[in-house]
Amino acid sequence: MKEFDVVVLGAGLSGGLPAAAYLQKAGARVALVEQGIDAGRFYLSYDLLPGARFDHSPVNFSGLSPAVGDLELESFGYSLRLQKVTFAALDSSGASAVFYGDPARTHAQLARHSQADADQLAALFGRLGPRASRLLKCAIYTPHPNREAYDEAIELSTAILEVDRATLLRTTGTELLESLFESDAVRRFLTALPALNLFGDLLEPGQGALTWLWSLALRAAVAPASNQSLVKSLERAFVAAGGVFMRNTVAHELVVEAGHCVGAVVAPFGSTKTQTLWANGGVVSNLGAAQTAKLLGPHAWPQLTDWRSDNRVLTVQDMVLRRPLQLPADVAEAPRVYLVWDSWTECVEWLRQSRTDELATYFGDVELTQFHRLYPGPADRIALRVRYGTGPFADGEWDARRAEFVARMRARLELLDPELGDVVELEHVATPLDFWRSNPAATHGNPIGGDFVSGQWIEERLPYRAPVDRLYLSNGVWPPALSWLAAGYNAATVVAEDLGIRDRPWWRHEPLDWFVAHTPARAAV
Amino acid sequence: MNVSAVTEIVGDGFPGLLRAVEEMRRGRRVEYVEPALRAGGAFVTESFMTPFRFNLGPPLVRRPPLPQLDVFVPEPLVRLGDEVGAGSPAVRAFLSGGETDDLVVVSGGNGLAVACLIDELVATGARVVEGVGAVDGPVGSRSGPGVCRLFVGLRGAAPVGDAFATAVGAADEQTLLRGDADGAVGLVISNAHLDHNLVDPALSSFVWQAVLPFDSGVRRDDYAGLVLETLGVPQEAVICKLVWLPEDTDERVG
Repeated sequence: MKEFDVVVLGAGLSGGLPAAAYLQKAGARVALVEQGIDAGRFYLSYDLLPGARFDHSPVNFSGLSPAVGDLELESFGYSLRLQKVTFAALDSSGASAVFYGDPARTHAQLARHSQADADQLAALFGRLGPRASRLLKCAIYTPHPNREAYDEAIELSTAILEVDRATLLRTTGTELLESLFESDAVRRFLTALPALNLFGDLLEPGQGALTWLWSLALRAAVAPASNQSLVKSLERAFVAAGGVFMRNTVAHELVVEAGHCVGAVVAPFGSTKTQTLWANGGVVSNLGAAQTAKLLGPHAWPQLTDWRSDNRVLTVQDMVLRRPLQLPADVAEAPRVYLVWDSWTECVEWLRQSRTDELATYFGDVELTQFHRLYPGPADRIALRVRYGTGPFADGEWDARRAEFVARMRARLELLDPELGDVVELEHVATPLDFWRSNPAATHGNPIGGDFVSGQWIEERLPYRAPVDRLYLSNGVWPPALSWLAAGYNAATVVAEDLGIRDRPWWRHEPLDWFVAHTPARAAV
Repeated sequence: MNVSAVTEIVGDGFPGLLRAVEEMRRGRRVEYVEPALRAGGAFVTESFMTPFRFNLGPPLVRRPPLPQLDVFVPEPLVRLGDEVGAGSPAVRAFLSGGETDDLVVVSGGNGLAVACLIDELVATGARVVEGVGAVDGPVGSRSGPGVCRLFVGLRGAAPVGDAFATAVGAADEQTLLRGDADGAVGLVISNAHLDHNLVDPALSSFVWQAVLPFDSGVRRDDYAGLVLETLGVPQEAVICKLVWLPEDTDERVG
């Protein structure tokens, strides 16, 4: 008899934490090992100054996750802050569009630029709506590789876009936007979210078109912030079910005997007092490809050691202002504002450059999150986050680059608000190197488990069932990380199948179930 | 069926959390509701400046009832001029927010103690919810001496001395606890018990804790510059820094 059935290394929000919570509830004895104090620490809130609250990650997709229902997260404190305004896009000429929860208002916004484009987006949403849950199930909430599910996701996508399969699989995201929308501005506004690199590279044939469409499927369920309640409810669901949560503990080695992964050697952080956590069924690693390879030593396989994670990473600048940033009135209502390119040509060129090592790409796609609209505090404590990028890691000289980046971003924002410099109370920049220093799993500061280069998209992502028997991965797999909890859901699925504990009556919810039940108007979009 | 009554505890900082654990250990059911972002009052360990950890409040904490935690009593605790030792009750109170008995340092951070206490509550069936209140800034009246903190992360070694907390600009307790808005007078506090969690050993951090009057008019950047210059920390070595003035937290001395 082993001490545990499953050892989970890394309590991140997307992978390790939900995997542990599912497996513990399903009856496995689970140890969850986390080097930080808290689970999901890149999704917690914090006060940079008392009264100025930020989130490490400002986007929350959890409303579409089956985990909210399966794990009864509301009983552990889960809540979602849905806003009337989802986001806004603005270019330097002042052209803008505000995206609302109410589809009629969004339609009116886009119709200012093109009636035909507004109608086209409404029609797309009309075809997407009834297929959204199944599409999410096949594309995201299925352990990949799974050829059947992949084919069904493509079939659903062709029906939504009204194109044939062959055409879809040779279409890039930019070609798709050009075929769907006539307005230069609408194309740019609808590129801002998928340019975050949520699902793939917009310039890759097939991958690009699907990436754009699937990002659209997330939009209705996007909520700003509230990730802390998600993290804490998952953490408490795990502990309340009897899970062993080892905080402030670091993994030193994955133990492989006779080809089977049977445990992990861990120690309190900063200590040499190691112990081996033996496991009956498996070890779920949420430590990233490079870290997992390091811990496996000679048992690592080539895909792990060759895994690319050096592009499309983030730089984040937190600012506390003594008054709000000056923005056009309707745009200022949005909790999130994208400062977009000034022309479609410029947008496409930026997408091309962003695949290179050109650091200038950090200033092409800028996301402002107005946390003071989500967490209202004192009037002179305005919490504004600026995310630059995405861009390349390039090299390790990020400490020397910090001041230059702050100055360049200040200059960009002063185009909107010339007096900005007079109202900055303080600011803090976190570079890709800082993220990597903080989380060794995020190689080069890449938060989504790897790049979308050739050989690293959907069917070629790292498999949930690793080549080492009884080792399961939940990082670098498809889908990439973020707060839809899918990597952990899928990892738990395969481990539970192998342990013979998957068939549980509560483990039955479908994607969007919770969201549809709680927000029918938004879900209808 | 014998159902015990539920004891509901709303916030009340670290003492409230300890009370909740005591109630639970006596067999009562507990519901703990924390209006603030984190339970544990001032005993919060934050990673808001990646990759460093900082205790946002006092560095010393009353020994938590968690034998599995790695805690230690720093020896020597304070260097004040030529005096090296445990310090006076007033200095210990300055380092602990008023607690003076059985004070320890939690390796990994005070927030680790809070998190482990919450785990114990949840594992025994308690419901614990944090962050349910409004986002508050400082609300108190502002007068007299308050606590200022400067959090610094840097490349290279932190300028800490041979004690856990080393006084700078003051050779005696009265000068230290009076503070000086125009000079760098305060304590440099070691963050080694948090820095051992850094993946990159070339990095380090420290906290400067000083007395400043409320609304002294001190500018954050000027004050940070003065302290760093006094401590001999070159600007180019600083990765991140953050000043919390007394009016930011309403934290008073003593």
